[in-house]
Order: sequence, then C-alpha cells, then structure tokens
Amino acid sequence: MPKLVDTIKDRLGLHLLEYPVPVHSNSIPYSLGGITAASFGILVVSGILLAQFYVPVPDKANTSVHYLMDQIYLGWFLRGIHFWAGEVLSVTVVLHMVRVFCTASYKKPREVNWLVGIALLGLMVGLLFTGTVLKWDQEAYEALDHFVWVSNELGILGLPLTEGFTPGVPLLTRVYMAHISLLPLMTLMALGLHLFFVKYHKLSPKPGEPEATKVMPFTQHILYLQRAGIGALALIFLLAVLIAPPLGDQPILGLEVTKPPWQFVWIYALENIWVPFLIAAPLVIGLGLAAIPFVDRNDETYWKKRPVAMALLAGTLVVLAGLILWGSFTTMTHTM
Amino acid sequence: MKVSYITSIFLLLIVFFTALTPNSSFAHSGHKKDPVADVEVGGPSDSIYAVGNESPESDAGLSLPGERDLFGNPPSIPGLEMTDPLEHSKHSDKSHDSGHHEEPMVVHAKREWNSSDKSGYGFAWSLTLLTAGAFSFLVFKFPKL
Repeated sequence: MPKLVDTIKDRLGLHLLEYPVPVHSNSIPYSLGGITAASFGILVVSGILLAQFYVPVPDKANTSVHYLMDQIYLGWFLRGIHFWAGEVLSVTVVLHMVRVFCTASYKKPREVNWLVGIALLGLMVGLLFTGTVLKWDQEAYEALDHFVWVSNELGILGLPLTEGFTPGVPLLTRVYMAHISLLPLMTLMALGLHLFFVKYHKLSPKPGEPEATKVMPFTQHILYLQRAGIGALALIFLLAVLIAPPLGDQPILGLEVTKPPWQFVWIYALENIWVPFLIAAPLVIGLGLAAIPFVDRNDETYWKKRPVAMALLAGTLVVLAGLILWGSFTTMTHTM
Repeated sequence: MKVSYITSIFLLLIVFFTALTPNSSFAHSGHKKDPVADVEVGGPSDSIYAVGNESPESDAGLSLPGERDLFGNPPSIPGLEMTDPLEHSKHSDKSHDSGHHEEPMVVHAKREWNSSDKSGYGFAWSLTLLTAGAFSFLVFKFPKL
C-alpha cells in the first residue's frame, strides 16, 4: 500500500507540494484566504446545480427561482447553500484583507499580489452584484436599474454594459452570462495568479520577523485548510437549513423602494448624500486600496509600530460599519 | 490515514451531489410521482415563496425580439415601461408634487426561518449534522494540525 501511494505521488508529481511553509500558516488568521477559496468552491458547485433550474429571461427568471424553492426536492436548500456561501465569503474576504493589512503582508516583495487580491475583490463584488440581480425581484430590478444608470453616466466606457449595446438581448440574460461564465473564469485566473505569487514569494513571515524560522510541509497546511473548509461547509449548511434567503415577486418597474443587501448598503447610504457617489465611491476605494503598498513604503511590519496605518484601518472600518448601520436602519429619501 | 481521510471526503461529496440532484440521478426524482398531481398540488401557502407554483416552462415560448423591451416586458403597459433610469427622478418628483402619489404594492422580501414542511427538510438536517460531525471528528482526531 505505501508503495502504491508513492507511485501515485510520483506519477502525479505530488511531492512538489511538500515544500516548506511557516508553521503559523496553520492558524485561522492565516487560513482566511483558504476558507474564502473553499467558499468560492462551494459557490461554483452549488451554482452549477442551480443553473440547471434557472431560466435567464426576465418574464420567467423570478418564477423559475420560486419553482426551484417550492417544487424541486431540496431546491430551497441548494439555493440557501449558494446564498450563505456568498455571505460567508463576503465576511472571510474582508477579514483576510484586514489580516493582510495588519501583518503588512502587502509590502515588498508582495505588492503585485496585493493588486491581484484587489482585482479578486472587485470580481467577488461583481459576482455578488450579478447574483443579486438574477433572482429578478424588486431588489434585483432596482440593483440593475442603478447599474444601468452608472453605465449610462460612464458614457463610452459604460457602453458595453448598457442595454443598447446588444439590441434584442435582455440585459438580465447578459448579467446571467457574466455571473456564470465571464466573472468566474476571470476569478479562477486571478485566483491562480494569486496562489502562484503566494508560492513564489512564500507565505509572509510573522510581523516583526524577517524570515520564518519554524516550517512544515505545505501538504500539512492543505490538511488544515481542508478541515477549515469542511467547517465552513458545515456552517453554510446550518445557515441554509435554518434561514431562507430573501426572494420577492416579479418586480414593478420604475419604483425604488427596497434596500440592497448589506454588502452594498453602505453605498446606498452614500448615494443618499450625493447620487454620483455611486460612481465616485467604488473608484476612490479601489484606487485607494491599490495605492496602499506604494504609499506605505517603510519596512516595519509589526502593527504596534504602525500607528498611522492602524488608525486608518480602524477609521475605515468604523465609517464602513456606520454607513451599513445607517443605510440599514434609516429610511432613505433619494431618487436617481 | 491520509488516503482514508481523502476517501471519506470524496464519499461525503458524492452523497451530497447525489442528494441534491435527484432529478438527474434517479428516474422520477428517486420515487414514482403522479405528474398530474404535481401540477395540482401547491406549495405551502404561508410562505412568501408560494406565489407562483406553476412551472417556468408552462408559459408560452420565448417572444421574438421587438415584441418586448430589453427587460423582457411588453412595452405597451402604460407607466410600467423600463425607461431611462434618469427619468425616474423626474417621475418621482412629479408624483410627490402632485399629492396624489399612489405606489403599487411591493412586498419586501426578507430572510425567514425555514419551515419543517420543506421537501427534504430532514435530509438537509442529516447532511448538515454529517458535515458538522466530520468537522468535529477532524478537530478532535487531529488537534495539532
């Protein structure tokens, strides 16, 4: 039996996975990226199954989701898994970024991987947004309505994202295409690049240490990630079996009466202050995040010795949480 | 040990996929069903999801481009056309000004507790407990990973 295992390892080149990684990688903070990837895997699998039941045309989309929820065996559970995997991913991806920021893992020589991570964040936001639109209820319609407004405001840059770009094809169908093929493909490519750079530059050492002293084989880290992934799956299953994701009826066009999901509610609050924030805020935040490794150039990685960076992080999180709470619990009065 | 560990994960995944795709795995979703009864029996009436139990394929076929607008809606219904979103504010302002503002009723979708009469509710719980058990086993079996 051991000989057979050795033969399989040799033929598949699995021994290449036994390269050293720091021992501290087997901890929750340093496994948040892996848990995010596991959640993405769950989203892909559940999404493939969901796609078998979804009809991506506006007059049937909402009905097909209702049909899945009410008539298909375990359909409600399947949609719940997809929804809650997205929620778990939303949380872990932010926590992963906070960990990378706190441990200054974006600093030299990992600046490019930080940029790839920002691109991945943008793709995740795109997937979350398009997924919100697909259920085609009032919330979905209003989300797409905002998207159309932004695309039109962007002029020639937003033209490919407008309904007039492909006459005769419903925008919802194109959003579906983006959700199930374009964005996942781009995400997988970016994820591959992200992992390549993690391997190339090695997992970052503990803050304050120039080099990791205690190491273990990467295969041991994979086992830890597998266990964490199963834990995430159990949590997603539990949430899916307990709480049904929101789903309304066919939308009434021209109305703006709902609030977006919590991941987008902060921009909804900003829109209430000034409507063009819909365009300006994502741009400023994206550029700001991308600029971090190029602005913060000193070599210090220990968080206690980076008071300005920590204050900025705390301030950003407080403002974001405040906007989410404000947007969630107040009635907004703006119209586009 | 690692081989059996991976095998158990594979088995778990196979059970999972098989359970979630009964229509493709088993004829008649794994149990014989009366197709006529399927059409007549409605879903739970107290659920916000129970608004349209008809099959999405039961409608007429896809309309030709031009019959409907880009959002797939008949363009002839007054007041419900998909107009330029920028126009919404103008409509909205006018509505507020007129003092006779009547919005169509929109039921806000919310998260709600799943009821136990959902199809496969017990099986979903079994899968959840199985996964949680697998996670607990791995945590206690390999605490020093």
